[in-house]
Amino acid sequence: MTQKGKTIQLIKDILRHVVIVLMVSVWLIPIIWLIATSFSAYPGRNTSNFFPEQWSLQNYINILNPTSHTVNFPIWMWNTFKIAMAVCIVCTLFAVMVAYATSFFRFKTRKPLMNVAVILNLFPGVLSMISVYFLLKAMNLTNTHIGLTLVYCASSGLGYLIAKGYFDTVPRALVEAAKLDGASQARTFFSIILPISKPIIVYTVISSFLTPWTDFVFSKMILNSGIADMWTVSIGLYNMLDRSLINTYFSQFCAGGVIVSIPISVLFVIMQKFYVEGITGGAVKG
Amino acid sequence: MKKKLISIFLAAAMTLSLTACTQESSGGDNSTTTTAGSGDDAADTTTSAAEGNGASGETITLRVWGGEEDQALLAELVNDFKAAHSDQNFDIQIGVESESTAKDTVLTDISAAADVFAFASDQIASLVRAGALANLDSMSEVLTNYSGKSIDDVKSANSAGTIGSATFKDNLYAFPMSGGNNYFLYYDANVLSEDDVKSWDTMLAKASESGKQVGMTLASGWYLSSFFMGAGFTSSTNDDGTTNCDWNGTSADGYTGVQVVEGILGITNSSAFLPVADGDLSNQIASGNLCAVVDGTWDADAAQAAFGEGYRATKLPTFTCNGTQLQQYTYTGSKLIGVNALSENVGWATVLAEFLTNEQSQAKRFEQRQLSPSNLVVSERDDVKANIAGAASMEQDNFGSIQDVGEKFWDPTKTLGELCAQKSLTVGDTAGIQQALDTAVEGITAALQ
Repeated sequence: MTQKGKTIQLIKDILRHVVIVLMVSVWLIPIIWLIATSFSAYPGRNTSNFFPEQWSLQNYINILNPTSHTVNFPIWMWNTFKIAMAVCIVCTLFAVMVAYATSFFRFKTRKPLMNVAVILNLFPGVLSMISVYFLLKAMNLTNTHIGLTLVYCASSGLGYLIAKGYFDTVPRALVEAAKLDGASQARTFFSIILPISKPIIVYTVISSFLTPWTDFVFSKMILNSGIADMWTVSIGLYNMLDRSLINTYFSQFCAGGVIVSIPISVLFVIMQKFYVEGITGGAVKG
Repeated sequence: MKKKLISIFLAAAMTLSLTACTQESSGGDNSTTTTAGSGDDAADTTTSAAEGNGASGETITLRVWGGEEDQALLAELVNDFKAAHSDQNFDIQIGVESESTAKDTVLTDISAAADVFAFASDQIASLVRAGALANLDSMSEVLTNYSGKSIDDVKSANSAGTIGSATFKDNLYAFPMSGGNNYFLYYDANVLSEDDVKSWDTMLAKASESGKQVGMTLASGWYLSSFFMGAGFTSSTNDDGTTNCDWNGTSADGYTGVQVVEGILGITNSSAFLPVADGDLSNQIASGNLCAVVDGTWDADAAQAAFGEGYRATKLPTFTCNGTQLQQYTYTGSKLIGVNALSENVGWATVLAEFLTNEQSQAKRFEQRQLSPSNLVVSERDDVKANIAGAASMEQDNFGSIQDVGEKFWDPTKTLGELCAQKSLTVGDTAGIQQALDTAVEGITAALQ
């Protein structure tokens, strides 16, 4: 290659990287701002500067040691964690079991059921919000964490599609061998299929943990008694932006936002390897 | 055959549960659409219920909603209440709901809302129309039984303005908790003298000399209307919730809307004027560029911190309209505590609501929160009068009118305010200003969907 060719290549590389840096900065600016503001020594909303004038760890200390009755971040975290764990377990079990059934069993309504599930999945969950609310109210389940957990778990079986795709790639011979050795369906499922399905289980765990962890709409609607100790993290954080609180709590709100994202990030980093395998594995057959 | 039977059974079960639900929710609907008139019956039945409860040793469960910053105070007052009625068992929970958003949350599901809740006085019309508030005039007997006061005692104990803001169609629907939910002028005495702040013209001239600015929110109907009310414009609401407004015409005092807008533009054209976005006032005060700001008691701490020794407050200044100086008016707002009409214990809820707003409670509220009281006895206290922001708020109340506008009022006025703040209109362009006013009035007076 000539000298000229090299220079052209270099210019191309530089241009390409400049574009990438620009795009990345557009994506990252809000996150950088959030993190920077969470370390601000000024408690209120600062719209005059991008970076805080004085840095401090006080926001993190304050939000983890609440003094006010209305801003009780640790309790919100605990509530959310409890709900998310319960939902995570129930949803994963359901989704994987439905996937197992649709993948390995052959029964008459298998196809129609799968079609119905896919169609139901196309409707956004919020459509059912009003009816869900009144049903829960009739059963006295509003303002309880159980009610909220039920709502999140309700459509969990519908999330079977990707897991089913993964199970379809499992050799049939494996299941048949288990059958010949006298294993029941339950035993086949728990002892043969589950151990080799780690990637897809991890994927289901992450996605079912994320829903309650990040949901605002349903929790705000169901936990409407105004009792702050009942709230989940998203309602609590939202409430910190109230007109009367924002001047004292805005920086703490940012700190809260950063803290909330930590468990998800950790979960994701640990399970990343499986996650990619899970999605691509499940995508081989749709 | 078996399958068919099962499916029929399932379908039947589903229809049954659905009808059960509809019955319940239609019951809820009926009561939510209860109008002010039929509210009396509901109150009557619960009156006897409350008396019955008093006799038995049952635990009365009540839920109270108050603003975030009121929580500690509410907990204290609720304990006082329990002590005052020690012969009765109570289970009183305190929840958080900001006074400014109470209406939206309550109306989402009235039966799920708290028995006693605090709200800002401008929400009273919507709350009464939706049947969310118990008519307190009909609760007088219960109140007398349990606290020895009649509703008339409450009315005479609080300032006429705050009682007026708690009254809808001649019936009292809430107890005034604090007055002074209006706005006025904070200024820095190091920059501006007492005479400077009497009119916008002198204030802006002085601020410009010292390189400082004067801040005010214009892009909000709540603030913008101060100019129009100053020129004698009024507004009112109809039974269907629509608003009457004649800002595009001529006011009772003989000023036209165009002249008012030109007066506002005279202010915004000054380089010393800083239009502030709604809700951004405290941040702008903290920036240190302002020497005066139009704001309310809620930002008193921010103003005090920024102005330091020079921290002063007074009524709003006058502005020039068609060559004369006109005083800016504000809405006389108050914060109220209302009783949920669908509460299972309306009687006790009323007694509690009254307790939370009585003289002792208002005194405590002033001591802890610096909110100007609506109670006449507490207002006369020396420390109340010495409170800079509170005194200015009361001074401004002399130039106030009751906020009687519907939901459609806010968006068009916000746009109009934004046009003034952005200087999109120019002095002398009568046709342009008139057109902007016509558009605004058309939006304000539009029918509700």
